[in-house]
Amino acid sequence: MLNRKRVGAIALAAGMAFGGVGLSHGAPTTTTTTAKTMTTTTTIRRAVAAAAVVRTPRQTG
Amino acid sequence: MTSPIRRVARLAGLAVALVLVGMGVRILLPVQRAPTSPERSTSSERLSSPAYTVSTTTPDAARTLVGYSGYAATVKPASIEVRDAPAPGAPVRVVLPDHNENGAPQTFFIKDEQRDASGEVWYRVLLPIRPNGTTGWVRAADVEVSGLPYRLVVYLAQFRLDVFQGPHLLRSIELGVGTDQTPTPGGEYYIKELLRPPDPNTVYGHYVFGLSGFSNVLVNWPDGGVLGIHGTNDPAHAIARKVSHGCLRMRNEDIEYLAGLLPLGTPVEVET
Repeated sequence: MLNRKRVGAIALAAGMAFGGVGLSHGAPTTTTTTAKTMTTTTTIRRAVAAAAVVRTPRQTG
Repeated sequence: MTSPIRRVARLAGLAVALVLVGMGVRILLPVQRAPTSPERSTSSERLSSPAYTVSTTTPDAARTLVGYSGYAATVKPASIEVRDAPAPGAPVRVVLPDHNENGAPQTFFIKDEQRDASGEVWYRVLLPIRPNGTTGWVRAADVEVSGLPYRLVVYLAQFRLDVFQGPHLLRSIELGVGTDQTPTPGGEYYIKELLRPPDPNTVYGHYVFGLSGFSNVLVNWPDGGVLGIHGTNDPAHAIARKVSHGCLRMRNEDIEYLAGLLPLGTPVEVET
């Protein structure tokens, strides 16, 4: 039998869940906490091997 | 005495109110805050994650690209302002030209992205400046983004460099590393240039990759002590040993393989 407390708990949980779904669909992906997802309006091309510059190196060796 | 109909109506009203409260609580929870100060990369933001995803939005549709080990940002204007936070008014951390001191296109490794209050997209990028691991924010509109197929992982204690394409190990390469007096510093770097020495018969061998990181010891070295990955003219004494000033040395056949494979921006993780 459902009493007020049970109805309240179920409704609150449903509200949290529904709110969460709404948030994840409605917010831009840029608000994720990791860098695993990126949004851009530019076309992403596959990077190719670097072109070598003829230069005397000055790295630490 | 309350009638059964009224009790049901009250319960229904209570349920609706709590649903709305629940939605409000969830929506008001903070998701992420824009950083307000210069940042350093942390261990929780490893460059080596192969699981990056890019959602490309066009006026007509959105699609998702997967399979890259990360993304490089190449500077488009003659110079670029790198800021401390993703906002037009944030302090400028450094201004860099579109080509670096060796003539290579100025390239960064993208660590993160965020929109500012106006909706403009910014990228947090790893920078080729001291101290190692320094990052800053650039406007997405000021860079060209490209997907990076490969990543390198260096195990100093094992004198080994592994080349990965996504989760697949392509090649393991034997290395010479820094001495105890001039150690190769661990950390997260990226390839910022590829040089071909005019004389291939020097300690640098046939090619040199310049990294975004620096020696922690050789601070007065020309160009500031930039770390590199290069070949050697003395493989008998340069491999599987602590021999260098901080660079990573390998056989010429291995550096030639990498020179024909790796784009600028490729991430390099050095494990101590």
